[in-house]
Amino acid sequence: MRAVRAGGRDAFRILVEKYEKKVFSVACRTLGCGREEAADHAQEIFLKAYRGLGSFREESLFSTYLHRVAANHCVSEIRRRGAAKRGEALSLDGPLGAGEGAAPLEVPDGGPDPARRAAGREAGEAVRAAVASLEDDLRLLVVLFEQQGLSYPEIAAAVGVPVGTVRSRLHRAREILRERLRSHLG
Amino acid sequence: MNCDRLREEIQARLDERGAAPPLPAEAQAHLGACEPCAAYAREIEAVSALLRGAPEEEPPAGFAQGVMARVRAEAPAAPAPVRRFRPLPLRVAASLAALGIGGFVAWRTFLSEDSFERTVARAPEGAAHARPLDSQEEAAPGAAKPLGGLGYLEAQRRKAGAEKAPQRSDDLDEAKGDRMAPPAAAAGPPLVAEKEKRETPAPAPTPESIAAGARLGGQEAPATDEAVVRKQAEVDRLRKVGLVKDQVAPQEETAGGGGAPVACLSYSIQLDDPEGALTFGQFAARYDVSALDVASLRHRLENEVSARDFFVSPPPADSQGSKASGAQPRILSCAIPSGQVARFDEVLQGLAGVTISRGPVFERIDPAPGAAPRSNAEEAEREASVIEGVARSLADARSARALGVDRPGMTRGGEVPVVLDGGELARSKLAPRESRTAPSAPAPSAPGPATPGPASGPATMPAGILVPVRLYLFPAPASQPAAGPKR
Repeated sequence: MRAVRAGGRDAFRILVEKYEKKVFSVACRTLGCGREEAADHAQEIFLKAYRGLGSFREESLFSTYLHRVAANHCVSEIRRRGAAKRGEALSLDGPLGAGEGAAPLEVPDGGPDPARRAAGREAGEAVRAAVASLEDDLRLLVVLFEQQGLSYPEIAAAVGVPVGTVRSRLHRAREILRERLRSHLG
Repeated sequence: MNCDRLREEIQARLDERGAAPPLPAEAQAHLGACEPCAAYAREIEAVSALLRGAPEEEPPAGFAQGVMARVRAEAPAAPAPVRRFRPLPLRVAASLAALGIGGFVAWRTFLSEDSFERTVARAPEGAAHARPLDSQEEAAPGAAKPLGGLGYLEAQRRKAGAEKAPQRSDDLDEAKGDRMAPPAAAAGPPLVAEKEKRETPAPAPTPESIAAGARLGGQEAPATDEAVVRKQAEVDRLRKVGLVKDQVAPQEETAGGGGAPVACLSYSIQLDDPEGALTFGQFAARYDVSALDVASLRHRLENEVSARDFFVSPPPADSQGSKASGAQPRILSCAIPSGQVARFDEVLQGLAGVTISRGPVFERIDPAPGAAPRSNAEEAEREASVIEGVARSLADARSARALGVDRPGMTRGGEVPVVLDGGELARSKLAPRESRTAPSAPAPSAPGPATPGPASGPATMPAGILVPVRLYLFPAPASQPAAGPKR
């Protein structure tokens, strides 16, 4: 970090390589988009993180900082999409209005992953499909909390809702996922 | 312990990510006796485990190289360091300024065409070039695009940011996880002291002045090409949803002089409106929420657009008989972060049963026929009670947190120094029917209440007036005792 802040742009590459999977996963899962688009968003997230490095305090973890940047970016993107696609009952970007009985929408292609194919591929794909079928706001919380490990206050700050709302939405999301994943929970 | 309570307990344990204490004996006993709950516990824990165990996605090959290529292309040097420890008041001021400026941005950008025309008509000759963005683009082909209705926001941010390390504020805001914090605004004297100055609208920024970084609001506003392009993109986006109408610089742009308030909350006070002919609300728009469950709407707005500081006019009193005097609309106003303006509008417009009326600002409403006018003293008392209620709302813990006034060094709640403006301004424009003179501004083209003329010592205030009020908040000086709302 000191090398990056001291002007070593290439030192930033170490951080990119270390966290690229995490950031790409956040973009892919929260935005429910394809790999190409997710990669674009992940690039944007890293760029924003780089620009904001001057404000990064080393007493906090870089991963936490990066997660915040990623979360904020995804929240902005989801809202932008919501504004653009308002009025559509369903969309690939955000299955707004999809109830518990709604069929999962198209799931982004995660690409070849031998490890996943070898073990638990079916369950893994089911989880991805179920998460992708959640409403935008619920999907975002599930990814940030369950898969990226952000705390409630961090999510609340990023999403702009009270902590209590984060909690209640996450509980609702788990209930929905429990229904949709029931066949894989045995 | 019933099933619902137990399931809530199980979910709460998952929230602790394994750090929760064992279930209490009562819950364990329930689990042993209730098979559906036991199944629920197994399944919901399995869901959580599946989610947490999902492998990370592999980015495309060459992803890191792509990022670094963009880093090199974009940044000629290392990211600029900023001061690591900013004084707390500045951070507090940043949040407050964002809220206030955002509210004012919304207020201005929601202006109707009628109001816009009247504003232009009132402006001095130097501001005669102010016009909607569309016409401006036609008039100045090839010129740098103006900042439009958001230009003063950018100028305000630059002005405030002059005291801080130069940094791309948009990106920094997001990077810091603070979505609504522009550079801090310095605290300054109450705007009441600047009232005369403010009553003459400032000349609007020209495309040339903006592009050249000319003075905006009395301050140097160094504009970069990048900033102009970025802000123009934002303006273009807002234009698509009809939120940017003009580029008239707000009066507040120059009002601060050497300093600016840290927050500006706009409220409308419905003194009396038996006819329901309201024309002013927060953001110069009227949201009639009569047909809605206000509590639900409020809940939704709180969750979806982080709305705060609600003001909802009370429902009609039974004793007055709404049928006899006409339906009395309930008016919603609230403060929202600057980034939520478009979403706020969308939510309200997307609701069945909501009537939105964008009317001119500072317009009076004709009283109902036969309605007894109130005396000035009565109106003042009524208005003061509403204002006091607004100020009290700031004492709400959530509002205080949203405004950052529960931090050390800041006053909070009813102790927030409040300077009321707008009430007096409205009074100067609102006069009893018999003392009104011909309006000097163009009459509104849309059907609606008459434009008021200047006041000349009104003895009474007519019924049916909606008074726009803005509360300006300032950090409390350490030596100054807390002050309540004043007028």
